[in-house]
Amino acid sequence: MAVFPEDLLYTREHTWVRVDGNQATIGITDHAQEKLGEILSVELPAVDTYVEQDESFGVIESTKTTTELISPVSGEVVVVNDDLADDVGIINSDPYDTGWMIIVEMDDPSELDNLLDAEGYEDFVEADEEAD
Amino acid sequence: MKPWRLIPFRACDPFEAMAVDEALYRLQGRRETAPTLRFFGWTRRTVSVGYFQDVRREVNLDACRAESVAVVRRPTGGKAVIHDGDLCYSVTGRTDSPPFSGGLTDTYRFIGRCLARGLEGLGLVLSMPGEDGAAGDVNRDAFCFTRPARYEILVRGRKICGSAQSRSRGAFLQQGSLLLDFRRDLPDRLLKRSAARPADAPEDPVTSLRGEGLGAVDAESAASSLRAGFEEVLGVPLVAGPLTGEEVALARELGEEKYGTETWNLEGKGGRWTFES
Repeated sequence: MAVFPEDLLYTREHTWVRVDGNQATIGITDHAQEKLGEILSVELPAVDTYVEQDESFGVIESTKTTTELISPVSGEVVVVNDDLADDVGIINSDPYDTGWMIIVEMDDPSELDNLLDAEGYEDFVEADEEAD
Repeated sequence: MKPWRLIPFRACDPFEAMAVDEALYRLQGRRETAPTLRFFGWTRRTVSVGYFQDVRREVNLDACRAESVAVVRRPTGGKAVIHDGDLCYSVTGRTDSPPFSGGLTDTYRFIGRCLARGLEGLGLVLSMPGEDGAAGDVNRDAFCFTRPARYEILVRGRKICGSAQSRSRGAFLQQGSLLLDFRRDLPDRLLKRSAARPADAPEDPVTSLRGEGLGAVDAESAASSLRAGFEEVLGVPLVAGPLTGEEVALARELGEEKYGTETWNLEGKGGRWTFES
């Protein structure tokens, strides 16, 4: 059963963001990692790369599938989670904490208004599942 | 269900082959177009590698150069495939529209059933890991055909067709290779280390149409049978049509700037492709 922490904001592309001042920590949701299955590799941008809201910031590979990662916000990447290089499996085991991917210095915090809260994302996921 | 488009079989330059598939995929992501089934072959022997594979570690580049074998990196994941007497297919569609709205596994299963129906039309008796409750393996080897994954097609327990997928922004691309023939010496020559046959891989894991006594079936005949399988499972006819002008233009651009470059094929860099919507 997927978890939807209330202190996060979400995209319809199954990425989450945790906001701390002007910095946004980004990862993929528990629902996404469940759907993807065992994650084998992840490609993330280097520090200083500029990422844009709703654009791809990386690629994740699970068993036989590659999926683009879509950024919830725009800004410059200031930190990349190096722990993923040692053990990409933490995205599966701990997607909201140690399995985070990048921290972005946001350009325009008003972009957060375009995102879903936990309840909105859970409703979106449920509607998506029912449509299946 | 609306009609699907069929891009009929054609042998392609290796870089063009991948550029066309990505163009179909990217343009599916931007607007509603019909799901598309494409068949293609290769104008020369090619090793295609998965998006994340380390080419220098897993492919014998010296041997490939010496034998004029092309190396191209796919937009999809998975492992190395040696294209030599195989028929390739791709399916592009929307993940939010039937029959593909059921998610990743259901998409594999659905396309697997279409392929299986087409191969049964050639007289093969098949099994599909996952369909009968078996889980299939996670393939950690470098060579695609060493182990079957879920919803891949087996004949007498041996893999005859391998597939891989990419997904982005509501669109997906599934690429696959059906072995018409299989030369067992090629993985040993063109792939590195024990990639071709890891110690713990199943004994004799691969078969082909020729290996099943169907050596007279050429790529176009096999494509015709697979097309019939898709039509039967879908319940709608496939309408043969050309690439659109937009698809041709994007494929040309991707061929020149991505798939025709060593930066992408050997280093795996420069692959991110974004569009103004």
